[in-house]
Amino acid sequence: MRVFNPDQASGGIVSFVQDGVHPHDTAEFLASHNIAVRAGRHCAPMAMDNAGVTATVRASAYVYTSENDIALLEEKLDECRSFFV
Amino acid sequence: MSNEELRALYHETIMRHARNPQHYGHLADANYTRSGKNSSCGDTMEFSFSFREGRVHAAAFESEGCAVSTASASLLTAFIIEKTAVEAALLCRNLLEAGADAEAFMDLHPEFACLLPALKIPTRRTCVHLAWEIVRDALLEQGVSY
Repeated sequence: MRVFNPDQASGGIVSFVQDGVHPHDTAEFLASHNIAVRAGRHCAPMAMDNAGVTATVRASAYVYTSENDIALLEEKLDECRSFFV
Repeated sequence: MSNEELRALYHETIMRHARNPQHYGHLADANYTRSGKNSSCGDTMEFSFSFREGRVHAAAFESEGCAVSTASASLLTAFIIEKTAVEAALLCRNLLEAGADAEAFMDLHPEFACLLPALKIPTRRTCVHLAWEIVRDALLEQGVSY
C-alpha cells in the first residue's frame, strides 16, 4: 500500500492506493462493509499526475470515529486486497 | 451496497477478465490506435487495431483502470475481432445508447450480461462505457457509417 501523506500533519485525512487494486474498487468494496471513503481524482488532476497515479482513496476520520472504526478499516483493506488480487 | 450487490458488480466473469484480460497489449502491426480517458476517475485506455477489408482483423488494448473498465475492454475486444467494422460499430452504439436500460441488449448478447450491474450504477457506467466509446469512435473515424 502506498500512503501519500504518512508523516504529514493533515488532520484526519489519509490518501492511499492499494497495490493491484484500483481506488474505485477499493471504495466499492469498503462501501459494501459500510465504510465510506472517497475515491477518484478529488478534483485535483495535477496532484494525481504529480503523484504518478490516476486516482487515490481518501479516508477521513473525525471526533466520532472510534479506534474500532480504524481497526475495521484496516481489516477490510486486507480483505479487499484478497478479493481483487 | 450490500454484499450481494458487490458480488453482482464483481461477477466472477468480471474478475476473471480483470485479472487476466484478453488481448491486452499493443498490436505490433496496428494500422490505427485510439486512446481515451475517463476524466472523472482518471482511467486511461488505448486500443490498437488492425483493420483489413472492412473487418477488425485484430485488436488489443492497454489500460490503467478499475476491474470493471478492464473487464469491459477485455470482453469487447474478444468479441469484435473478426467482426465487420459495421457490426462492431453497431454493437457499441447499441450498448452506449441503452444506458442503464441494457436488458434488451443483454438478451441479444448474453456474453456481456455481467456488465449489467455496473451499467445500473451511474458512477460505474462510465467504467463500462470507456472501451466502447473508444472502439465506436475508432470505427467512425475509419469511415464506418450506420
